[in-house]
Amino acid sequence: MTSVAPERRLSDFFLRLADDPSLLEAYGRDPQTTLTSAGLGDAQIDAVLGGPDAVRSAVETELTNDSALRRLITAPRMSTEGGDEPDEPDEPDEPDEP
Amino acid sequence: MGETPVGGEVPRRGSLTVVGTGIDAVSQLTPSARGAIEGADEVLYLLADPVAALRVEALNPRARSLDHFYGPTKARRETYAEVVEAIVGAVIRGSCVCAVLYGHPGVSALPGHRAVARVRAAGLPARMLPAVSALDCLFAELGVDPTTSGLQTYEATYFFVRRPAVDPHATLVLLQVGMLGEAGGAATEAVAARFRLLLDRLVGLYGLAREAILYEASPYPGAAPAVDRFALGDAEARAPSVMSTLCVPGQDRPPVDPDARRALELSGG
Repeated sequence: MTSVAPERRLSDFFLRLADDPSLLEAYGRDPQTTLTSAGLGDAQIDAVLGGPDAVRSAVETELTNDSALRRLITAPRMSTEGGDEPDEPDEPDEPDEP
Repeated sequence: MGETPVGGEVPRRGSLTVVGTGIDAVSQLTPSARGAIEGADEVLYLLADPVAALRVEALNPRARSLDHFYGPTKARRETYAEVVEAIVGAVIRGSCVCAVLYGHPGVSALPGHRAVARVRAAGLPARMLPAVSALDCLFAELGVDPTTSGLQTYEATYFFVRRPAVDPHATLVLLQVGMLGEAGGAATEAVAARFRLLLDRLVGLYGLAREAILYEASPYPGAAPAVDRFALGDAEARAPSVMSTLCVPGQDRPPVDPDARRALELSGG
């Protein structure tokens, strides 16, 4: 029986970066080479080069395929006060003109 | 020496530390925030992307999300009250709690401030640690120095409905333009039309030709930020994404007031 190496995940690579300052430094200088050296594929490299939306999409695809981690995929939550917060009582309505 | 209750354990005293992940939780989480997450009995988080959630859960397996309090049409005010209650309740029960928010926990993040105030009012220790905000990323990536001609920054809906006085020389930064006018937990298609109204307002303040930038810091290391430069009068300007910040860079510093300058010189001795 042939064992198949699990596919490397971009999200796992990011966690490695978080704990390895020298790897993070190398990645900052040359993301493409560092990703290749870490065994990530062309699609993942293209995602990083494509910008935040492409990375998010790639990471979400990885996590969707993991039953234990797909719960982490949520809409971005903007903790904004917005304009719906009243800060003073409403003025009483003006009486109608007679 | 304090007294030990007879026949019982000393009740545990809860505490709260509110931290932010920075915009990019991989490279911007500070050592002090990391320590607070790792050392907490309970970690409660509200984050904007799954990599940040993975990182927080890797640092403390007891971490859990507060995202379930949000609903697409549920009023944010109600969600915030529940989030604050969950955080404060855990502290009151005696846990050392770390609340983890996206970006800077004190910028555009009402629940963090309210939780700190509530815990302190209950006589328990609470602190908030500084972190990297979208504004910090903007300064670095757009080359804006807030001290060159001044800076005005507002939450976009606040700016639109309250119409604060604007200094046309200063840089204007409007946060959360992708949630303009939204009271619920998610952006709707109405934001695009509201954004046009906002641009019309800005044209009235700055003119058609003034440059504006829709900016989105990258939450992922190695991925470039989204930077879209356009003239305020550009009818084809794209709508903001939920994470976008709008920046109108400062221009033409105001003239020096000679009387004010002379007053400074005279007071120099």
